[in-house]
Amino acid sequence: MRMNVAFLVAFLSLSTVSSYAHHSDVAYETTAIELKDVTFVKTAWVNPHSIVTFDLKDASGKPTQWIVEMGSPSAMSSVGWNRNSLPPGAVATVDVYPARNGTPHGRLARVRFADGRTLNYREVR
Amino acid sequence: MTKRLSALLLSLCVCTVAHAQRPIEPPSPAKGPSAPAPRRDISGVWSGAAAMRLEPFPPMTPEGQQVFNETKPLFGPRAVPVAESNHGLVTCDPLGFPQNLLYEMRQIEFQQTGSKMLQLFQYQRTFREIWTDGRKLPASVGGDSAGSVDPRWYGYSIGSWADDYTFVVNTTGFNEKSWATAQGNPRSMDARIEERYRRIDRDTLEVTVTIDDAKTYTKPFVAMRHQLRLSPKQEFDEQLCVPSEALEYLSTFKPVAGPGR
Repeated sequence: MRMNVAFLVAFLSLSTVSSYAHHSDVAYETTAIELKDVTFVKTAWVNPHSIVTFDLKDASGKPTQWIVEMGSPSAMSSVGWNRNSLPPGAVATVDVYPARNGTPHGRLARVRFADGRTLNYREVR
Repeated sequence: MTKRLSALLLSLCVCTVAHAQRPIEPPSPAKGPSAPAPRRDISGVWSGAAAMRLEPFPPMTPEGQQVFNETKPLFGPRAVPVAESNHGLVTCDPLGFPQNLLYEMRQIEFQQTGSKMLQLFQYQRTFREIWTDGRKLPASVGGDSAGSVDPRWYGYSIGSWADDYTFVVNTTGFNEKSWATAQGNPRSMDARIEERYRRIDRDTLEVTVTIDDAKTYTKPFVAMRHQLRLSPKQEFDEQLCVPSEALEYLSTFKPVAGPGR
């Protein structure tokens, strides 16, 4: 039993944080940032990488549009996401690895909704 | 124990939104020794890994080094942003052989027929024909003579049983549009690549890939050793690179490679 549990735990750990890497993350920072209260605009559920667009308002209320890449649809669905996971208009806190060059782009790690629901894709470092 | 296990599983399964999950078969738990391997049979679905660990490559020849220097890979120590890369993956070109083994091997399948072994790949849903009908590898590839055949992404493959549990594949005749590895290591048209699939027991298949490419490398070498796990009920994911969507992605994320702001 002990061995089976260990095996299952190892499998689930891999399932929740592994990704279908199509390319390296050389263009992105290695530490994630937290963006609070973003509003989702649209999701492109496409290969090789799905893309989510959201607005982030600064203190004055001026929005900046972020474009963030995710995994392939099959990779995302293997950890519990689907194409309707981030509906337009929904508000959430997201963790992303931002572009090194400062443009509003990034790689998505995690989405947390106000009601406590959490969607993980990548490990948050 | 049950409570602790439930809590642990809950904390690991952090995808808390209740979506319908496609059935994913976990690898078989270790239950002690596996059953013995069947004779001359490697058919079925085998699970590998999302990223393969490669053996050290030997020094390249000057010609190989020149080709290597021109590659701009997406992976490894020389990785560049997507918009700057000349890796075929960017535009969903075929991975070619042996990159389709050395890049990633989440799921593969063997189907044995009377005259050939079919090797199916989850990635891009491609397949190879490995002829077992006794034919030879082409004597001439890319030459001017009438009998010379054209080089191909996946080359030409023949296979045979070295013993009751080891299936050996030899492949040659590659076009030089694709690389041997996702890190940009090249392979030439005349490279000879051997795969040995040794079925250790019912559930374990060991693959060893050896590259002999005198034009590119200073000596033959083992590029990868990996053990695959039998996953008879695993359904292949639709793991695709779609050219039109990849171009849109490339356009969308082109600013990431630039000087920024």
